[in-house]
Amino acid sequence: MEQHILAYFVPKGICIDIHEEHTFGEYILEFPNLSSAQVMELSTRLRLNRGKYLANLKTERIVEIIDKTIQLWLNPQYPLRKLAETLLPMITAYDAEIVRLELKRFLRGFRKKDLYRFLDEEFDNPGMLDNFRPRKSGGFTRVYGPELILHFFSGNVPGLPIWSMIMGLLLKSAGIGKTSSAEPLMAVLFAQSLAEVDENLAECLAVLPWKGGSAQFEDLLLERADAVVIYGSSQTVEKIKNKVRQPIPVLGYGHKISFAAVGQEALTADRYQDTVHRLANDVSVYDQQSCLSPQLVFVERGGVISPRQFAQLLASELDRYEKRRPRAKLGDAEIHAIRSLRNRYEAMAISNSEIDVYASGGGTEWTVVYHGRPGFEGSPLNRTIQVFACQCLEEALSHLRPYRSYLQSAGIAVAPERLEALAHCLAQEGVSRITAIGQMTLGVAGWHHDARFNLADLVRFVDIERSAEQLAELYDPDVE
Amino acid sequence: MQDKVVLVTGASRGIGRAIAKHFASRQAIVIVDFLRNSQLAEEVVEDIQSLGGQGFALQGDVTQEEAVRRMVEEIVDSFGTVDVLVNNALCHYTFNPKLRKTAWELEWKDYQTQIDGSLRGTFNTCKAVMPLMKRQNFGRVINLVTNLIDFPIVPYHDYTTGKAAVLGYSRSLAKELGPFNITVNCVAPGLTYPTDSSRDTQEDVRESIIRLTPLGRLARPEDIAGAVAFLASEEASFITGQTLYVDGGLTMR
Amino acid sequence: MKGWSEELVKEILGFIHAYSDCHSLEAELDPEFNDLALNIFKFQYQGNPHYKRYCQRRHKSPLTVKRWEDIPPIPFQMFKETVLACEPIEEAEAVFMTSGSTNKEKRGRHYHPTLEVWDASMVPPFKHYVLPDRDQMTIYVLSPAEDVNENSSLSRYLSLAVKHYGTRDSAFFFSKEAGFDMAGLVSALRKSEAKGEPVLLMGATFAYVHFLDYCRAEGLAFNLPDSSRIFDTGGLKGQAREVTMEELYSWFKDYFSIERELSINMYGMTELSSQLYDRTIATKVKGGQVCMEKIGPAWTRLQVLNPDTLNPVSFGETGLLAHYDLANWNSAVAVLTEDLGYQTKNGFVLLGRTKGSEARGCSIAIDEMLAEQTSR
Repeated sequence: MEQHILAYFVPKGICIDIHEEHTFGEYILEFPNLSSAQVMELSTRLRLNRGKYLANLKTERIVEIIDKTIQLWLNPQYPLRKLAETLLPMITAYDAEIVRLELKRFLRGFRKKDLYRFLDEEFDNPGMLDNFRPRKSGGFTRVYGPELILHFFSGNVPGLPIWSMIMGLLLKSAGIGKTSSAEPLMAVLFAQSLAEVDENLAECLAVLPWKGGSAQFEDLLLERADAVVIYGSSQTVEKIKNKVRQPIPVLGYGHKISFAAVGQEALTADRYQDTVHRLANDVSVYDQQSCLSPQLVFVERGGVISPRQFAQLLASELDRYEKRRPRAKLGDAEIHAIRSLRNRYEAMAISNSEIDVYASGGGTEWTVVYHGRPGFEGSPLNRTIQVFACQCLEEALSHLRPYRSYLQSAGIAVAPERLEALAHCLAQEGVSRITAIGQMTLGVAGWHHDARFNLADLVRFVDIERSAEQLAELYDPDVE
Repeated sequence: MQDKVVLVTGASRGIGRAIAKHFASRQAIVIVDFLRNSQLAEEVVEDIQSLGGQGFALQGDVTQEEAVRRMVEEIVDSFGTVDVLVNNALCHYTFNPKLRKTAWELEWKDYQTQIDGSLRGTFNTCKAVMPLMKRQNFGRVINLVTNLIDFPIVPYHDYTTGKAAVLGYSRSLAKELGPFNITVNCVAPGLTYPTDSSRDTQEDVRESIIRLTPLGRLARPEDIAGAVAFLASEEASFITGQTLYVDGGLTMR
Repeated sequence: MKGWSEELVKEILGFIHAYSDCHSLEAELDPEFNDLALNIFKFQYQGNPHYKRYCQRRHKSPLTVKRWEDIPPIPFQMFKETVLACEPIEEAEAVFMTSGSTNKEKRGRHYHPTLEVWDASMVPPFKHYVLPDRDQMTIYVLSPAEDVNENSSLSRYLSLAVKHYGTRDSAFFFSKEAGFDMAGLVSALRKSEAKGEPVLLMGATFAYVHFLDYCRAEGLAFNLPDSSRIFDTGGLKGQAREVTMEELYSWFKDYFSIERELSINMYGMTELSSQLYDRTIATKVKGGQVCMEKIGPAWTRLQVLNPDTLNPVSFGETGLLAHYDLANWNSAVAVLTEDLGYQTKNGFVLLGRTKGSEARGCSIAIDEMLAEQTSR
């Protein structure tokens, strides 16, 4: 039985022609044919709908609606979840088991308690989103979100667009999300779920696929938006940023590099296997396509296994992971990049005993490159990791400097007494998130994405100063 | 087994010889380790070559760490690695129920000799090939023990103790090397005939063992070789820390 | 290794001389090719510990390799990362280096203890594929020759071509001091036009792009005499300007009046000692169907490998090219490239260098990142 799935979501009453179909098994994804006029009408409608409904909702109610929607998704029998679990592996080529597990884990991070954590993290008093609230220094402040946010989603990690959509809703903003061709589905399904819970709220959202930079209406939308959020390559972010003419908030989440650092305390006889297992997990989940995934690891000498043995063990662990949850089938370019890296290092390894390559025998499924001294080199991704040996982790820090503006997460495994000092050093070198190895790919509620606020950077803070308050008192007809 | 490098210790005669020939028949490159009799070892190599296989004789006393190091170095120089290690060598022992030493006749040095011959030899070779196997994320270690550990039908105390030590060693090794994709297993033969060591086992003892054996005969060297080859094969890639009894069902566990 | 290598060189020269007019698709030469390839493999395996280690890691040794197809092709990067030579490098008659990298230490090096084999491998196929119909021709060379760059295999190639097949009017238009003398080339071409004597232009592919830019700027075009031809090599990848081969060939017609069928692209690399050619001119001269595929001499073979597994692809599928070249006796008899192509019954089609990957999202390969940084 063929099943037609819309690869877009628009408020009721907007008619859109189907222009293209992509078939995945028995499912047919339908892509729209968008005209500038339609998209403009859409943006007007969204803004209107928001003004009528979303703008007047109390934050508590919004949190409730989102939580209800998430609860739908946390039910394994929920039809849209089952659909996502079937279709996403076909669309993205990721292993079905990984998609199933990671999607669930990811969505769990948006339950009521997590949403309050987001809000509390960024606003002293989240009540400011609903009313003017008194300030300690006198007067009042209220927070206004953008009326309309234009989101540019990336397709590397299934479900990631939901993050951005939810942030927009918390700010009572209408949203237009542009999906990536690599994963055009999840944002649409989520919007549909929102509609199941609260139709009026979903009327403030649109999710559309178009080829970035190509459509005429993209420029028009950029003119009409009150804020822009961009996920993608640094070039994409830069390109879109340059097109924004008005002084509105533009948040760009561009290219980032994450890495891991393993101290000798994590390489004792009782711990080393667990340590390696955790790291292999970080490398394998979504094939390093997430910017949170490690591309390299620094391994300290002095444990019961040497950094070289660590690399060997990691290789074996990746091999086992591959048997359980195979890497996605890659395109030619990605395969060539891995093959080229291997060839280069295998050539080096022949006459340089400080270099070694451990790699899957059949194809390019996984690759570990060992370096006998610290350095910094990234990976062509897709389960390819560089292992750098060092005497102590602090020694490795000096190699981070040139990459400062690109650094993001550091997954670390060190003893408690080293944690803070090491974190401080890493922070100075540009790292913005320090997390446990084994948890690297999972962002948590309230984290400062790329060292910034998720919500606070998008809003306007409006103050009623003490003087206005006091002056107003004067005009009270009943003033004494 | 195509092009795999297999080191069989004590391969100039008996079970070792059968193992070496079996691997060669499956297109492996077989290193025939021997202690003293180079002529016998060369015969094995000739047999192998006449089967169209690749065999090379290498002298090395496995109880000597230095000798093992040199031997493995030589193998690496010629073939690059060791993929399969079969610890079959033992120090000379005569399986003669009539002349065996009783528990009260044995001296510690008898035990020491057997522990050195079995455990130390195995330890030395394992330690020497570990870095090679780790490097390639692949290795198969197969240690020969005996079914006498479970069923001491004749109590050869010192010999059986030495082999039991190998069994304990193998299991711990399997645990630690598993993460490197190296498997460690044991093969426990029953009385195997004909071999030089079992020649002195009297006919009536053999007969009594045969009577107790469900499959109704003694093990042949080829039977042992088949089990060893299985543990080295792709089919056995998820088996480690196990002991395979090749005694026609005499012991069942 | 001395005695052995002398013996080997003699054998290879014997093969080249015996089959100088044959090409790599002639199956009846396979057994002889196979024997010699395995001999060279054995020589390299024993003569170069680095080569040996690379082979051993792939479980390949003279004991186990029985067919030339099973000799492991060495990634071309190894010429850069390590010394690939069996004979002492300080006694080499020539060392050819790859160009491109500014860091001299990091250039690929190919040592030739004697140039006898290299020369013997170059001359007959050049005649066969470039000048099958002529004994001599006036050759104009656009790229540096041997006197300008003694470490370039292309420079030696160009000099040797002129030495063996150039008329006395032949000339070099690239000098150390002045670079590419385009004005000189223009007047030489005008002279040829006037004399009605055909010419052969030879040079790196991009040299033509520069020259044609010059012609366009100066409003020049030529009507070169019949039978004139253009030889280019190196391709257009890795250059700042985007030009396709198709565009270039159409410009050859517009600016030189030379048809695609008389244009020939030579595929060679520093890491090899033989060259492969378009079959255009050779098949055109014979009459009948003109072949656009490339082919190599009898002492070369080609394998197309799946980039993911490095196993051979089935016939006609696209993959990485691995070249087997008996003239590469001192370095590596088989070389793995990053060029993509596929085989046909007439030879093979080159599709160009592999491209690196593009990031799918916010994660990024560091190479790209550095490119981003520098392009800002």
